[in-house]
Amino acid sequence: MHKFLTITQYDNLLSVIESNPYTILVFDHLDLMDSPKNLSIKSFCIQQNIDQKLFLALLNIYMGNYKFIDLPDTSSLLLLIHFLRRSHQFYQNEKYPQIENLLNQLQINIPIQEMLLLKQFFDAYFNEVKEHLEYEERIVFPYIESLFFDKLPTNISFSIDQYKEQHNDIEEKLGDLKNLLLHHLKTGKWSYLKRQIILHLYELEFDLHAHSIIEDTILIPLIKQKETQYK
Amino acid sequence: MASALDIYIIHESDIVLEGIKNIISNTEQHHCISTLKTLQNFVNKKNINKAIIFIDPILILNIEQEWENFKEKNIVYSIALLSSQYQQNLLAYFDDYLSLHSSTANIQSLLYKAQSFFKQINTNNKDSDELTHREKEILYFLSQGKSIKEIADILKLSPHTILTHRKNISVKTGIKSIAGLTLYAISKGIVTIKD
Repeated sequence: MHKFLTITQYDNLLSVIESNPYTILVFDHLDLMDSPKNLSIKSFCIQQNIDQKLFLALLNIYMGNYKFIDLPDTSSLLLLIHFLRRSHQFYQNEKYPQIENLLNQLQINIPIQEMLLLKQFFDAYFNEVKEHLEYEERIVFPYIESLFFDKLPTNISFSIDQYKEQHNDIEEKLGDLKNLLLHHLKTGKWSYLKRQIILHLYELEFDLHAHSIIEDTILIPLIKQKETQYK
Repeated sequence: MASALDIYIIHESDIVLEGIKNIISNTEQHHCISTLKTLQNFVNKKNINKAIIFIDPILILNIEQEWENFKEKNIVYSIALLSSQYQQNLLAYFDDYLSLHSSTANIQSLLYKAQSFFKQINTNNKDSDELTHREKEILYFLSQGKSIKEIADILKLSPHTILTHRKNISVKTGIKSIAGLTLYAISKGIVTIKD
């Protein structure tokens, strides 16, 4: 993507959403679904009292542009953690149950081993996702909050290198799941279930991918910046 | 005319890096060439789609498994840069080799060979996702949890050949993980649950 295609503060929010409906997820994860959206990003941020740089960075990442992002200030860390926590809730409390329920229905209606294995495959995949989310809830976010409130955390063992390693590539399994359903597993008259699962997987994949980009390009650099205050 | 490729040259010597880069740059096609002095971070890359790697085979010593994993996860044609006899035993880990004592014309030949290799993968993909008998055999053993080396011993083929088949299976089916391939194998009757 070229720099001139990045979203700026002068762009209209509605146009952004129209060009990529997945950007709605940004509003959901910031708990701003009820806010009016037919205005410029600049006006929206003033109205909602949110950090404009962070908001633009998030929108641009959801639009697929992460090469020309202006890094927000460390003051936006708390809002960013709020965003990431709500993303976790989205995955665990919404996407996982939706997909699990549909896979169970497939299994009930097509009681063959492949459907049971498909459910197990999805569970194994999501367990990897959950491990990463739990690590962030248990270690990363408390660490950042301690830093943010000017306390050098002594009881939390956190290392950026270890955190970066946590970003294992679990996208491969999700890609395999999609391809198994798209190309190889026949579902006959239950294809509407398959269709719903595939669409949910696409949405989950999209948001998880944006989530990891946000952590790599915004969260980790901001943690490093914040840490330098104590050096 | 053959298409431009992504080329990586990985060697500790600046002279070798610059030398091979210049020779390739003087060929007709405009390839995208990257030079690296270590394998360290490179070996963790995934989803490289059709790249040629010229590499000092010494660099994979003690990380042979990571190198094999790298080749499984990416579509690459790997060429060992040989400077001495003792490196010969490492050749099994590579698709081809180039002696640093040979003529510069050999580099162009290797580029053509790599392009043919990639074209063959493309053809396999376009024609159908139907696996060959050999690919089904290998898929069967992969689903049993056998390693590349174990399958090579069972079928009396080279590990390199098994790896090529493994890549073809992933390209044809669109499935990369062993768990996913196992599920695919069951759905096609290549393995049964009791297997």
